[in-house]
Amino acid sequence: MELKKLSEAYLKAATFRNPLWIPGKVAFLPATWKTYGEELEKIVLKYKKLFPEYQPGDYKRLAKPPHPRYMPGKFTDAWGCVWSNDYEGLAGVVTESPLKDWKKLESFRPPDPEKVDDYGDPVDWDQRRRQVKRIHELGGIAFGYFIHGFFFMRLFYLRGFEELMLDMATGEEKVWILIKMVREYNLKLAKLWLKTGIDVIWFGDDLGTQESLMVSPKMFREYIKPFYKEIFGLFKDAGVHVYFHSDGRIVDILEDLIECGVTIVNPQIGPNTVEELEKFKGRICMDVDLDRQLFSTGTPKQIREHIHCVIEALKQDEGGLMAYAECSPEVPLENIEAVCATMSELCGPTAMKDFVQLQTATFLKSNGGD
Amino acid sequence: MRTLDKLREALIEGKVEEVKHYTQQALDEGIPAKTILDQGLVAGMNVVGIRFREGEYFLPEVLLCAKAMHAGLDLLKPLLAGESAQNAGTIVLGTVKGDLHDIGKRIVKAMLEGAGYEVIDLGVDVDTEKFIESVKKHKPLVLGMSALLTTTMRYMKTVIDALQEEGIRDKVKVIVGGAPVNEEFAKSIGADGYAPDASEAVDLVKRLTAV
Repeated sequence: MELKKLSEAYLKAATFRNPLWIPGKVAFLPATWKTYGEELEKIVLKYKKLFPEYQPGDYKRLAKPPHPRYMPGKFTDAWGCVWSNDYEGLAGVVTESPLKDWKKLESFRPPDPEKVDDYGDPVDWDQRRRQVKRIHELGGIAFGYFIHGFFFMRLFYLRGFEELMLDMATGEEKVWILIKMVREYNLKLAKLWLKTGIDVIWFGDDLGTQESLMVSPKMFREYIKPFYKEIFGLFKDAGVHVYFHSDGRIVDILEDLIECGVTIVNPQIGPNTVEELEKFKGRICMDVDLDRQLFSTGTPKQIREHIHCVIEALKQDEGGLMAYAECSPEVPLENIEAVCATMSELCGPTAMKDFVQLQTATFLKSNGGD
Repeated sequence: MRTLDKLREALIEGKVEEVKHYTQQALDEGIPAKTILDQGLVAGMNVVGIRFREGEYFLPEVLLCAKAMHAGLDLLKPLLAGESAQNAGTIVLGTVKGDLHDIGKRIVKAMLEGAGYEVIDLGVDVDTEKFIESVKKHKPLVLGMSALLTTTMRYMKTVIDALQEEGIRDKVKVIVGGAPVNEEFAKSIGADGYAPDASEAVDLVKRLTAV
């Protein structure tokens, strides 16, 4: 499939201009490739339409941890947050926060996004500009990205989760100094991305639990929304599509996210119901994150019905719908096949890389990967 | 307004210093520590739980109220021991092996403590041996297991099977929670219950342990 056609379908879906198909992505974590290897490859090759870039044998490379965060042990990022991991091929979690003690705030310095990314890997912005130019020459669209956890999560990575929640509940003034610091870092990063000429920028920040937002909509509007509006606005004003991912329930602030400039949202089905999302049809493009918990525990029949039900409810001829299906290592192979078969029936390929590829692109480039 | 009413209100509002103040004032008035606990702190946390479930309170408010509750509880603890007062029972909690996620479990712990239970938190990445050892040692009413990953949630069944093999499955109720877990999964692995959030976990524990 030509890059140009993939890109056209993506942009038309994002902007409600009658795409020829619904862009769909079935994504496998490195741990999933490690678990199934060649057997998974057989499925991927069977549904090649969804995996236009996949080449036989790629599974060996895809099974390897793409970054130290995906390896067992501890890893310290560029902000001094310590990540721990027990499971090769899955990303770890932050277990040590450098600003648990506010006394350290005054002397704390964020990384320089011109030189390194959030994980401390070197960044070559000239190379990124050249890559974007090359993608455009081939007729494609170029994606930029902020890390998963670029703002709200970064605040609690730095401060500690309970500490941040208590700070917000008590109106601790120092939170605003922390916010200012993370804001300035991200704005600097935004300006660097804008100079590359990208077409879509990916943001990820988990705001929800299974049942609700972590903080109230009021608190979201006080602490988080103003910055989202500022940074998303920079991209939107430059004609760059703003993609926003969050785990958990976010439908209660979807209106706010639209106001902030999000053009493509990635809500999880489960915490957000199809009925709730239907109310936003036509107003924002939804890259629906299909129920990955069902992929693990359901039957192939239930999975097929689920995907049909979600897509039937949210699709429109004019576009505004994409679909994302992530399979973790414990999803049985017959369920993976059901996901691929159904996605292949209802969707076409997408121009977007999956999350792991997107977030580790720099590392792969700087380490001789493709 | 009575001191215990003021204490309860202060707790519901998450006013840490006021909770300390009214707890001390209630003690100075000669109110038994157990009464202060039940009618002040636990009663206040019950309201917090309801507000959380109904979407009025979110995690910051719940954690602040839990902090206030602990501030009062710290004053009462030495006296509760002296009064030979019984807590509502012991609960053992842990995030299963391979999973390092802690936040949800800590919120459940805070809510259970707010309901008067003694909670033994085994932390994260807890293996079968540690769960079994803790059940044998503490003889809890309930063992609660948490997992955030679909990859790790299956370990809950390993623990339940081990309880069975050790011959202690019928000595403890087992509840499970965490983002990927649901009622159906809980049943399929032989758990006694599932709760979607911290507030419902408290209700579930109360139901399961009701005599």
